[in-house]
Amino acid sequence: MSGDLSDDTDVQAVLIHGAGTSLGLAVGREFVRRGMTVALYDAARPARTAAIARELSAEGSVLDLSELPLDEGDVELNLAGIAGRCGRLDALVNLFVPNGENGVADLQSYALKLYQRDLAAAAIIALYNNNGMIVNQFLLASSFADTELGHCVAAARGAIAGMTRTLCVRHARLGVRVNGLLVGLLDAPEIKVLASERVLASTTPLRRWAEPVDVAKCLAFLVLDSGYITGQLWVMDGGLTAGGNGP
Amino acid sequence: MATLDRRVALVTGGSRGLGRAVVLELARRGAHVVINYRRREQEARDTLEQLRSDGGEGSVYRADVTDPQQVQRMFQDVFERHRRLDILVNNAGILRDAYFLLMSASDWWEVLDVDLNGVFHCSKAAVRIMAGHRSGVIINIGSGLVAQLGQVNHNAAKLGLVGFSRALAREVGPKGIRVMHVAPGFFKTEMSETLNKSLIDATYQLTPLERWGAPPELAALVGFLASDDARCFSGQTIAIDGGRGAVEAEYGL
Repeated sequence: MSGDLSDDTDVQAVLIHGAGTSLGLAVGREFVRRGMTVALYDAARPARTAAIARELSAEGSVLDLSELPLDEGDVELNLAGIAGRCGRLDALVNLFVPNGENGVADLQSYALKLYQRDLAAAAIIALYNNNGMIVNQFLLASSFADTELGHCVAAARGAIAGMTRTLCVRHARLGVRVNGLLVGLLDAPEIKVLASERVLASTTPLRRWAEPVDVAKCLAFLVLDSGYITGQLWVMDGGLTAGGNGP
Repeated sequence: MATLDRRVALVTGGSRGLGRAVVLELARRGAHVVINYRRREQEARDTLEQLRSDGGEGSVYRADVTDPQQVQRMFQDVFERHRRLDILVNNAGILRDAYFLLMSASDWWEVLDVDLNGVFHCSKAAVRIMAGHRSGVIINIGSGLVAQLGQVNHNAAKLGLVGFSRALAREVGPKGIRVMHVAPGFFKTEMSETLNKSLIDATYQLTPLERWGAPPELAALVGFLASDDARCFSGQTIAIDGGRGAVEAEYGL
């Protein structure tokens, strides 16, 4: 009977990809407060990422690694370099907030890049932790309704949902878990700029949109405290889709 | 980590197994926990003893969740004593496994009575109290979403909880009440030890993490969902199964 927990499960260093947003700030802050070494990465938003790193470095150990290569060339080698800068790597968190008017163009390659990054990250994390974690945060189309961006978000979400489940099988052999967190209506400034007045869902059963801090609390649970959960897609949406389809 | 200080929780079937682990976790986070049991008084008292030796607060309460009058009295007493109820964990469950053609009508009904009717009675009594202070969390503990041989009754009841949780979440969300469904895969408990060995071996082969869960891992999930850290979650089913469900969803195994 192997009901025992793994012993080398202490999560000490986390890489946050896509950190240059209000979501990155909240998530980085939560991990810093829990005593982790936090590496921030966002090649598309370097200035904001640097500002977030400055803000958080007063509270703990934070590195802004956006100047390093990550998603181009040999991703595994790049991640090994990032792990070297952190001293180790126990977890990868992929955050997603659409990037202004480039949102649709970015999305066409988003899932493929995510796949390559998750594939490479499992090999690196396995060197340091036998119960490491990858979390793919993404969005439901709720915030964008019947728009081109909404359709692209839905398509990418489907891809990410499927690969999270299949990667969990492969990654488990390496001692790495992988889960997804899908956020419905997100009360973040970046999203509000993009959400049109055509948003269908103006309210939720709980009468509440998720805030960045809610995403941060949930990611902290998943990374630090969710030992037997893998291959899952959590939907954080205030009950909005409760009567509808799962991922 | 959000605490549950000054919260009042009730866990059905809290005397042993997963229920006991949930009781201890909620108490560790600061809640006063009412440990419901039906027959296992000594084990319920042992759980209470352990809770108190960990520095927690709690009490035991005997009631059969399939009896609406006993359920009503239990929740009434909890309300009179604490004037509130913040967390209900519907955990009570039984197994009456049999291959379909050998399954008696009473095997079918007894399982549905505890696993589904009991959740109805308890949730109704809880919502009456929670709506009064416009806050609360109901967490229904189901079981793995993967169908098992000889468990038509169990699977029907536990998947019934998916729909129950979704529909109730929509209805009571505006009253500030969240409803979640947790679907555990295989966990090492007294109940799971009644399973036969070939089934146990098969579960290892089909579980990516190649092990069973430990009750404290489920308890940690329930503790998170019961706390304000999870205030945006409602109506969802969350599986904690070592990846077993993901294998079935993508590979049909």
